[in-house]
Amino acid sequence: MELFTHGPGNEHPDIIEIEETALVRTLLVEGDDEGRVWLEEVDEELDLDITLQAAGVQRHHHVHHGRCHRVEVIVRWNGSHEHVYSPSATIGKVEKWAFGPKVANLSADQAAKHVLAEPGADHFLGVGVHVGSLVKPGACTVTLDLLPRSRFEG
Amino acid sequence: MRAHLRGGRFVAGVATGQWRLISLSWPFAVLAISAAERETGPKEFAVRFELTGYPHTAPTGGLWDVDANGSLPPDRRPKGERVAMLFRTDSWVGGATAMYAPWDRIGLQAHPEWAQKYPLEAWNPTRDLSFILTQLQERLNADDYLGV
Repeated sequence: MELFTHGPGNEHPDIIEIEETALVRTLLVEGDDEGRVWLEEVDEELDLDITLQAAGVQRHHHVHHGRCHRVEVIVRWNGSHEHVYSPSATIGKVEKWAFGPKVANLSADQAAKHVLAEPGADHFLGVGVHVGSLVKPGACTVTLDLLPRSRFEG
Repeated sequence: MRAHLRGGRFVAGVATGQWRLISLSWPFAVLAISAAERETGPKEFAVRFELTGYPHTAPTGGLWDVDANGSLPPDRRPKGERVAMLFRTDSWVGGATAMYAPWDRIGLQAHPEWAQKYPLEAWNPTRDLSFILTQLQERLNADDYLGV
């Protein structure tokens, strides 16, 4: 079956072909003894020593591998706001918190005109990006800026 | 281009119904992008991209009527503050074949300053077509998209 795998250092998923009978630990980077695996948007780690089928991993699921058990996300908007997520949490999930009453308190119309980006990046973050994909080596913290989308004007 | 179409980002978008490839006949590619359900709107819009020089040169693309094999008429283009700005129906030079955006070749030619003014959205050779598809898909599924 085809799976989408996400991991630190790459915002976008890789696509792999793997048997349902393979062990979950097969998804780890070779030689990574400290790695863990999560299903997208699920807080609990998967058991590494059961099959993908037994773990409930199905065709075209998105899975995340990495060493951070949790990722602290700091959103900068009128100060700094922190929240802890599973590494497989998506930017879409972070946006719901960041645009909501606990941070920016944007209306639906305003929220459509805002976005999250890493400081100094050359692009906004897509809603499908995993927060665990944004961590740097040796860290489990991600800082994001909440920014208005541009209105293209001449 | 074909490598990008086989990549995880593009295939993941296809798997979740965000977009799909309709045809590829170099240098043209027609792709459909899903749109949020609206009383007056279709399930998806097709865009015909012209990809000469891709990815070093920005693509350009406009809404496409697949059945008629021509540009989508103005009365069938998406409405809404942000998406209507991309697919302009006035006398802008890009007309029906280009997007008024810094990721579009014609948009950038009309406004060379956009590359510096909008670096988060401007085309550069490290981007791929999925970058543009993501921008379009977001606008066609946002609360400010109003159908046609």
